[in-house]
Amino acid sequence: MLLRERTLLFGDAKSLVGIITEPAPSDEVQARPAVILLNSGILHRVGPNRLHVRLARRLAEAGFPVMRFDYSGIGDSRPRTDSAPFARSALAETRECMDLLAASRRVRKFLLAGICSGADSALSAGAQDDRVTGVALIEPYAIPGPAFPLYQYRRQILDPRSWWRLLRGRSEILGSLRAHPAEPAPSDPPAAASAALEPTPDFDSIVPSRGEFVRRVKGLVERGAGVCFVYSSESPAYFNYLVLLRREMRRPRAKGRVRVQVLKQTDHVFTPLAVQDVLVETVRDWALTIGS
Amino acid sequence: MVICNPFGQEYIRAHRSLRELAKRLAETGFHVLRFDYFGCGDSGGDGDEATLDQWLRDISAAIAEVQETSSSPKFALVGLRLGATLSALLAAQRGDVERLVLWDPILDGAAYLKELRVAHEGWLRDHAQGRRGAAEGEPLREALGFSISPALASCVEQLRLVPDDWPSAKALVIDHRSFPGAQVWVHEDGVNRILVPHAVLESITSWLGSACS
Repeated sequence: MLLRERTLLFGDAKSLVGIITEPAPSDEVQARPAVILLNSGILHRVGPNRLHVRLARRLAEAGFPVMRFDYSGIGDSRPRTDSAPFARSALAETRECMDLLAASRRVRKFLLAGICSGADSALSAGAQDDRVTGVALIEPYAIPGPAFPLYQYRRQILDPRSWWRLLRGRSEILGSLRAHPAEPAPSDPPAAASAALEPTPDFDSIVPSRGEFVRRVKGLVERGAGVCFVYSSESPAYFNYLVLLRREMRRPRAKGRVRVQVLKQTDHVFTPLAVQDVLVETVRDWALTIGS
Repeated sequence: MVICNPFGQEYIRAHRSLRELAKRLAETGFHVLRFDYFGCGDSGGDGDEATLDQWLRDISAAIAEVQETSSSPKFALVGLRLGATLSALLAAQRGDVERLVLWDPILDGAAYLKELRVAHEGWLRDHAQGRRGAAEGEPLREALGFSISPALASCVEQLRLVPDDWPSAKALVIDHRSFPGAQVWVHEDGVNRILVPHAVLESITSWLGSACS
């Protein structure tokens, strides 16, 4: 399918930079919600491993207009002149993006998707805006909590491959306990004067408490929105899902409102290309069930 | 000025620094163009369709664009890592590049591919629960999240660059070892926190400012 990509500048000062990927116009396309892909941490709008570009094009081939843009101070978007905290500015800018597409493309419904902190942004904006009919939460950020190392340890003890690696001197069984110390790990050595850290958005500010996380997801499901969770099987985020939501989501999953995809042998940002392929198809298939 | 990006994960991590470089150069009065090669970043195409020849043509297209915008035939290339190597190759082919900034150029393509292979394998081992990369002797088809086509790999393998070949009046070679902590393209802070190598950017901006005045 022929796709069209354009750069859009929007926001009060036209300082937010986004790229919209659109299918060739047709009646079917008019009916589809728009998909908005939200920044993962400080990575610019192409996404980790260029996944946002792949997602945008694949979704546009399926008939969705897709926008990927940079929040203020990230990628090519200028920093804000006010001192709004990231939690507030991200929410406002996601809404501005929806307003832009509503005005210029006559879109009435939106699907929000994000990886890592982008998932937290999607959940936050989705919970507060009825125009959002679905959110794809891909490896949402999660504070592991004290129970996570024990969970990981138990899984590894039960995995025969772990014992084989232990015998060969390459065990991660003990490492799993060391990897999540009670105290925060020391940060990287301070950058020398020749390279300096610039003000970075406070991404922790958009991580909901566990109770709020559950409330937001349940709120979305209760109002009929679709939710797609995609996890790396070993991640703290998946552990959070198992502990906090698995039981709650049993019925919505059975009704097709909630989809959970767990990908094995991958990292938090889906480095292996074979896993990226599965991720892209998962989100596309989910969007088609929600947005058709 | 045309800024030539590094490849793959290095591109992702260096994006902010190169944006900042473009901004500083523009503030000095230069027209500056940043762009993505075919199959990279926002540009069209898939990563597995990319070739070095295409990327060299892309740089030439960017040069034509900046010449038109600035209404000036004179231009300089600023490249980081693989982008520096491509800049040097193109400069040798064209002969009309006014100034050249080679920021940590890749001097030996085969060694670079080997580094990518080791880094990819290490990343998978530490983060992807037992997934393996390409076995010894097998061609490298992906590295740290980005695809490497057979055509790209075979051209990168052949790359050799001797930066001393460039007269110092015409080219500035930046070696990160002179700027401790400035390896933004591999630094974890390049992906989690905003890290900008001010001293490197200052060197480039002031050298171009005086060399092109």
